[in-house]
Amino acid sequence: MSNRTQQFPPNNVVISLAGVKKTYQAGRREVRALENIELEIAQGEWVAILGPSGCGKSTLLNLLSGIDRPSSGSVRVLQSELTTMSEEQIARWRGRSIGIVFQFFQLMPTLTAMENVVLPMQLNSRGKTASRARELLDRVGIKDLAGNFPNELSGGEQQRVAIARALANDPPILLADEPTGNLDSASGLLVLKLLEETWREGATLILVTHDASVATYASRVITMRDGSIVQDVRPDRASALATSGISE
Amino acid sequence: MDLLLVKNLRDIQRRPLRTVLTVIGVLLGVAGVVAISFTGRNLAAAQQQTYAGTRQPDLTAFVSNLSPTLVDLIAHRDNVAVADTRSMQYTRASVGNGWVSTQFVGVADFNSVKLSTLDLVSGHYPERGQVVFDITATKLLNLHIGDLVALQPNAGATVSYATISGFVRAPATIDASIADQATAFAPDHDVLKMLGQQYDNYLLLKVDEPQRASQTASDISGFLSKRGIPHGSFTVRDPNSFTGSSELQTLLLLLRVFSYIGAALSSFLVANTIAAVMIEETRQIGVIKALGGTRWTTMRTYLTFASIVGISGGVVGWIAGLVGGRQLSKYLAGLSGLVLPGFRVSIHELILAVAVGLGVTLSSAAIPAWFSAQRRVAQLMASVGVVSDFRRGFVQRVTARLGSISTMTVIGIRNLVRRPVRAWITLALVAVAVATFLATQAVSTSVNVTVDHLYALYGADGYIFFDQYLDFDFNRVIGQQPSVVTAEPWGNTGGSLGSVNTDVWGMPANTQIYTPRVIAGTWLQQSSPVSAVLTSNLADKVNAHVGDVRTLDIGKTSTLIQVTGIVNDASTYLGATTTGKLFMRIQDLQTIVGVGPQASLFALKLQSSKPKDVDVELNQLEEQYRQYGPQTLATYQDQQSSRQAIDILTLMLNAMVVIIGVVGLAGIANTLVINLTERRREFGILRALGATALHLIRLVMAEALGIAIAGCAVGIAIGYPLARYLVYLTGTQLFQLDFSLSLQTIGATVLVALAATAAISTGPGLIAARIRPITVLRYE
Repeated sequence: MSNRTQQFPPNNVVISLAGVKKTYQAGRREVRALENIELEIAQGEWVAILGPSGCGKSTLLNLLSGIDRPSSGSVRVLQSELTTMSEEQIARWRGRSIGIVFQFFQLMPTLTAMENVVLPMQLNSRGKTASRARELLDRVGIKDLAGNFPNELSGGEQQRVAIARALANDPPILLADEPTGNLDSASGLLVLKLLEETWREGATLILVTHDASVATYASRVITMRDGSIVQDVRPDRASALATSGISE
Repeated sequence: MDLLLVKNLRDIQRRPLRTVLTVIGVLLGVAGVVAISFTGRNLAAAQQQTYAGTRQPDLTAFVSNLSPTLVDLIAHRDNVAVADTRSMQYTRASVGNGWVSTQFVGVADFNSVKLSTLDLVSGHYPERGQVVFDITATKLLNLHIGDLVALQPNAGATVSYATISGFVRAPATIDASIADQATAFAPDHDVLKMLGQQYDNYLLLKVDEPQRASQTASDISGFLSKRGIPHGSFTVRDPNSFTGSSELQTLLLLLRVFSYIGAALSSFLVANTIAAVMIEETRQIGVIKALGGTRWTTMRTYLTFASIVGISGGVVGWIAGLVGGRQLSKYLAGLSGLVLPGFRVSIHELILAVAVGLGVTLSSAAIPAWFSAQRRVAQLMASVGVVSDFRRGFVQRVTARLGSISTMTVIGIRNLVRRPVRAWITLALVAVAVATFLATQAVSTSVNVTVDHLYALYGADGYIFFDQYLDFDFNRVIGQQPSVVTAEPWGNTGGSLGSVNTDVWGMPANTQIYTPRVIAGTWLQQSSPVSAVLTSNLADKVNAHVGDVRTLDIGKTSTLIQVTGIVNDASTYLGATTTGKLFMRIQDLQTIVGVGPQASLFALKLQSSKPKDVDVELNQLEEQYRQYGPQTLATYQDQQSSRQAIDILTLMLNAMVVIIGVVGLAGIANTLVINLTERRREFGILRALGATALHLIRLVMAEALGIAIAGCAVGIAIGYPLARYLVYLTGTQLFQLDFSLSLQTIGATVLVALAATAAISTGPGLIAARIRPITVLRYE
């Protein structure tokens, strides 16, 4: 069991949203992206946020990472109230507490795979960055591609670098926004496997997807529609995994 | 309204910072060119206006004991229209805060001055016991009407006091701050009392035919010599030249060169912006073409944008140029005592502004617009605009080896090669700015070093003049004084070789005080015809070579001289209108001018060269030989005065460098802003990964410093030949310069460039830090 599990015992709430609303101004029109969200996520959960395009799931994920701020309500993550923190405080907090995997990978084009993984560690002033980056690239199976630039990698390889980068600072919470959305099915499966491994080591994993089959791997599925949570269930993972190809 | 025009206007609104930076670049370029043109035209008009006045003397000279009878005799000589006199004493003045070298001028009657008239600025003309100061003296002394001013010819002399009754401005005289010397006017009686003389000692003449002025000067010089009246060489006013004109012409020439460099820098800036806009809008261009737009439509769209920038920058630059030019003209005219004509807007500068503004923008926009217009619709539509790929290359290899530098710095440096054309344009911008900076520094240090070298040739610490001729042997008498190491009889008068006027200097052949830098032939020797050594600039002008025999005219006397040597000595003085110098043995010179083995001027090498000691030592000599009517001149004061004259050149050049530096920095800022706009997503992602504001500022700064370092390297490479050229150019206007560009200057230039770049990059860095990740991720 990892240190994270020791730090946050099972069932300990690491994410808590209360009365969260988010509205956007689109010209003169006000768009309600999130409507009165009440949500608690415990340490060690794998939560899939499922819903059609535009339902507010990515907005919800962005609130959890502090990338976006709610119009009202409270967002408490790892005992930090994000709504009261400055951008600088949130940036530092995010660097050490959250790992993010984006749909379009978002690797720095001028950095090699290895350097991309080193980057968050340097931002967080960590030592022994090279050995840790090598270890992570080995773990995601692309150690040999460490010196390649993003444009020299396939989509699946890029996403694996992005996962290694997300894990670089050993964050207790991992957020993934449509991590397989831009990949072929084989690469997508591989990425899900890596996320699964990370979750098994004790990380809290929150994954946003519009694909119901991806959501079935999660220990908890939250379904959203029109900015609201319409369903929050804990499905039978064993049967789902049996048909997915990921072993328990 | 044409929709493409509407699009342009909205695009300007969409990219306000970039547009403003580009307009500023064009504005500065146009303003520089307009200001220099305006200043040149105004100074020429001011010169004409000032010297068209009939009250300016054509000839001036120091002459001992100008009795009314003598003045009357001179006034009746051929070609003399008006004769006027002054009493003049070089003294020093104080109002309680230290002494300032002061020319104390006595005027017989302030209400009937014939030549060199004064303009009363405030107060009233002085009565006995009162003085009026030239208004520019207030830059050196804290003077007010009613103040009591102390006047003392030298450190040991009696102090006399006078009350300031007003201020005047003497047209066509140099500003006190340049000459480092104040000018005070008082009733003749007070100055003569200080001089201990009965009659005036400064002659001013207006001639009937200015073209014969030199001949008249020679004629009067001969007339005075025959009567044994000591006098200095005549200064002949050149109608096309005025005091300090060569310095001003040099300044304007250099400023003109720099203004063109500034305009060229502006064009880089515009090209950079337009190229960036074209890249950003590749798809839009594709869409316009897909909708039926022709190549010309595309060209027109972006040339319209360039025109808007050009006209805006041109018009504001024109106004700024006129205002700046007026201020510059006022300043320079004030320094030279020129009367500036009223402010008048000329169509010439408006045309220039529009031509430079539009010319620069349209020509630099045409190239990227043309290339975009040539592309096919399919290519344009397929383009993603900003290419995010990074190719392996030199920069990648270098940065990969720099294991210890931070990843943010690596990103910053590698970003440079993602847009090679933009990086090259910006690099060129920085390189030109650095090169210009180096060149101006080289000009000012070269001038200063040359002044030092020239004064080093003249090892004299001071000179003593007497109001009568004394035997050459008197140098031994002076040499016996404990403070004097060497004293030599010297002589100085005006002469001409053919039509070229020059200064003729006499000194012992074995002089211990002057160090000749002989570049051809030998130094002075006893020979027949008379041995003469010419300075190289004079030899060039009259096409003389060693061994040539020429005719030297001094007054009405023509003497055959043989050129035995040529020396390198291009020293001059402010307002010099003669060419070079001719040296001969003092015995030969005094024989020619008809005074025999006597001299009224002795050059002195003193025990101590420290200014304070020199003052005391010269004062002691004045006291010692009071019966011969002595006046002394300390070399350090003369050197200081020369430096002051050069300082104005340096000041103006530095002002121009600041303008070019601003354009250069605007270029870097512009590039950084463009890069920033293109890479908003990357900055957002970095923020999402936990990058703080400091991290992003460091990244932007690394990018800016990368350009600046490369720009400095190229700037130094092109700066050296540019510096050589500008020093040569300055030398042709002023005097031959010894080129000087030290490693310290280069080091300081690089440091200034890097520091300024680091400072300017914090702006875009802060903008980058303000990018919220959500704004770039929202629509993913």
